Amino acid sequence: MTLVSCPCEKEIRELVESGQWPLASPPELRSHAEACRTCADLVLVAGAFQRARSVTLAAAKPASAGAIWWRAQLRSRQQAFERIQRPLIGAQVFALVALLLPIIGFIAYEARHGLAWLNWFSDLSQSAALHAGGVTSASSSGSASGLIFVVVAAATFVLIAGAAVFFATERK
Amino acid sequence: MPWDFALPNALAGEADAAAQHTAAHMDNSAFAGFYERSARPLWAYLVRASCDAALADDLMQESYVRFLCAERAPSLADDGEVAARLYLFRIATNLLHDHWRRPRTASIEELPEEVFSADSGAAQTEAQAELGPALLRMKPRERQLLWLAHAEGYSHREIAQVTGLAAASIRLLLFRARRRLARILRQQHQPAGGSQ
Repeated sequence: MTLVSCPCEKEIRELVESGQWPLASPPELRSHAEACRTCADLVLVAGAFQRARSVTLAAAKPASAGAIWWRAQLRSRQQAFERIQRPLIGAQVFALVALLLPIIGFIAYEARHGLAWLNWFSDLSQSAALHAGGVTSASSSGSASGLIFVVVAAATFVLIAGAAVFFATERK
Repeated sequence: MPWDFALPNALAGEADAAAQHTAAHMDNSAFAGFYERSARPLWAYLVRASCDAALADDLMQESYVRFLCAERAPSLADDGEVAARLYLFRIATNLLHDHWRRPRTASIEELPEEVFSADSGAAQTEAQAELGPALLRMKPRERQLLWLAHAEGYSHREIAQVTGLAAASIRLLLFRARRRLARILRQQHQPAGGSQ
């Protein structure tokens, strides 16, 4: 469909929208609108919309402004609260990661360098099987002190991690 | 409640301040005046574009709430009522598009007219009127463009702001829509069985 514009279009549109069409409009413009299809369409459509607008405006029953204002205040407050909470959640995640990293590092270090305390288990089983009651040998006592350290450290980490996870996940 | 137990008042205070900031472009009395002047035209636009009075009620309220919560909404004092009203109509238009997109994933242009012409009480009464049945045969976007241009009297640039379409394409889209609607209206005016 090719766009066909008419120089009278703007003037006719203003007359229709101001309610001056057709009675208060120049006769030559009225005769032009009858001959020009673009202007005839404009008169027909714009007139129908103007009448429909007045009918629809009269039918509108808007809610009270106060209720909408109150709703908007609630929504704003909720959005603001969420905005403020966002960095706190980030800090919680950071704290959790900062706690878990040393634990993972410790376990990795022990796995690579230590594991001497694991020998204690094998020593214990061997000595228990071969020499019942002979668990107080020199080598076993050295491994036992390492085991105590590891158990205490692991228990401490578990307690702290549990508390951290609790605070990080507990929302209420 | 990981950190709030230590900072409850601080959080509440900041939230209050932020809430006041988001609605700072308009106070209660200014909003009441603006609402009084713009609510009916906005509802008329929504009900004519959607052909659903209940939907128009919901979308109108949501439009105002979003308008008040928007940080970048134009201020009545600084930007003027025209800018505020255009922004409000833009929000309403976006909500309409969101609503139309929701039931299906297809484009708004691909949806049949029946989807948009929900049968409501208002639509039934409009069916008696001159424009109602003709608008039901138009595409939603055409209804929006025509209403904004011929009922609200917006310029092409303003319509582009409201609809998000390119200003250059508004003229052609409006011309096509107007021609189509004029043809439908002429068909309606012709007596049944009359010559075409």
